[in-house]
Amino acid sequence: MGLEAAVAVLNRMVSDRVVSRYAIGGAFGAMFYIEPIETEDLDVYVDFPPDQVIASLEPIYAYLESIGYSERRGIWVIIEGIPVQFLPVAGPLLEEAARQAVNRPVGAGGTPASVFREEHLIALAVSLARPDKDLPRIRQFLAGRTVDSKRLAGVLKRHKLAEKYKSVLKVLRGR
Amino acid sequence: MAGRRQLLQKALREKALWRLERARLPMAEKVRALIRMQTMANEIRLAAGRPLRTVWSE
Repeated sequence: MGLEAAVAVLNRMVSDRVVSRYAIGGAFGAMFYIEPIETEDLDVYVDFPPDQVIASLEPIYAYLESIGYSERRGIWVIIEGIPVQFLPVAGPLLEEAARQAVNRPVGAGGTPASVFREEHLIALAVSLARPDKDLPRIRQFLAGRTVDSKRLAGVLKRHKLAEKYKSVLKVLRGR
Repeated sequence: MAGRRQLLQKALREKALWRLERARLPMAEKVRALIRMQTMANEIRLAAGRPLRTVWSE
């Protein structure tokens, strides 16, 4: 039970070819780069082979059920006690973020978890720019001084978020 | 007034440093901190008679 075991299940989903890749995003993904923040669930973005038509996430749920994870609670599947929300990789920004995700160890056993890069998490936060969630998080990312500014500029430019990022910075500086 | 402002700025700088240190903690420590936060939040929910949420484990 626990986080490391849940990540091992996610890795197994890839090796069993249920998904082509996954990457952790959301608050827990951010926690790999910023201070701990409270969250209830694990946001897991899943990608499929390009030739596969995806109409729903049911194949994932069916697979999980077949290996013993049948508990569902609202939007979540409970994997090793952790509420997990699966979200499809959709759109160029998420596709790039999933392709360039990095492996980070979790737990005592150091099980590798695929996690979005910091620069993509910032770009995703910029794209949403929710005042209560994303703006404080962007501030935390930038305060950490580990952001690769060249990479971030490239991501923002490619996904037409550079102007929006400037506006976000103005708001953050004005506070 | 200037003294108070300086004190406040010092406190804010210290807080920013503390956040920076927390950001650099090993992931295992961050997960433990998250579990502590979830536990504390549940205690507040319990006291307020609100539904409890899942607390993770490592």
